[in-house]
Amino acid sequence: MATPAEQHIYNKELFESPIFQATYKKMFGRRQSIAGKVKRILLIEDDVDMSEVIQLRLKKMYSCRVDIASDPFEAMNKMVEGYYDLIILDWNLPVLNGEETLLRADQAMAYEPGLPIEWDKNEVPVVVFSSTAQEDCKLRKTKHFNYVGHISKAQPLNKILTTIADFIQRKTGGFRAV
Amino acid sequence: MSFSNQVPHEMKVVYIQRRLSDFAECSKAIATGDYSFLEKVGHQVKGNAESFGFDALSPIGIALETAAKEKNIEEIKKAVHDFGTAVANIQKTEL
Repeated sequence: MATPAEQHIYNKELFESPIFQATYKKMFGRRQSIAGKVKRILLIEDDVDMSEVIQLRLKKMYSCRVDIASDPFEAMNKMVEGYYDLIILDWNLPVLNGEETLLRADQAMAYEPGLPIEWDKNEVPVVVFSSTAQEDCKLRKTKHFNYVGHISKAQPLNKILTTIADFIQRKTGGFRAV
Repeated sequence: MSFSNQVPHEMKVVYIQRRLSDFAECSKAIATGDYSFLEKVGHQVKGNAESFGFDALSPIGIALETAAKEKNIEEIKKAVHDFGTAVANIQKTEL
């Protein structure tokens, strides 16, 4: 059994090999960053009612792309496929909670050779979106993620959307209203 | 922008249909003692009902989540009964 250090060396050699890189580029050539064009939001939410209505309204009100991940593992896959300007994170997810999801994603990214370069340059602002009280949603700072606030689910949708838009304005440089 | 413009009518209809399905599943969960499912339904309703304009469901969601955490079967049954009644009432009067 390889030690973690040996495992790391093994992965590094594998990832940096020309064959691996060529195959990877061929398979995942679409993983080009589109940051700077349209704001991209990742909504990690297992409540399909909430995710559908927020996606619909944000897309209708603002020029942004909203991707939905309904569980932590789908979220991790989406994060390594593309960079996001803002992550909206439900706290009570299946299997892992919000903090565990980000910690696991942070670790997985260290071994992802095709990770969009923006992930190395910026910390993505994360807003916790939950009906769990703010004091019970504690996020540690990680290399790739920066907790910037909490939005309660238990409020009218227009207030939720206004608060999300406010976070985008303040934390990502804003977006154009449609 | 008014709240009624925020959630399209068809999404409200789908929301209530899903809650009716939740009600049926909750009845099964009571029979099987699946407290985690009951807690999850209560938690989600607590969180999303107000966003869809169905404020009356929020306190029922809170009651169901609390009762399921405590495994208080009498309170669970009461909350699930109230939940079914409230959802059926919304379907009749608001949609």
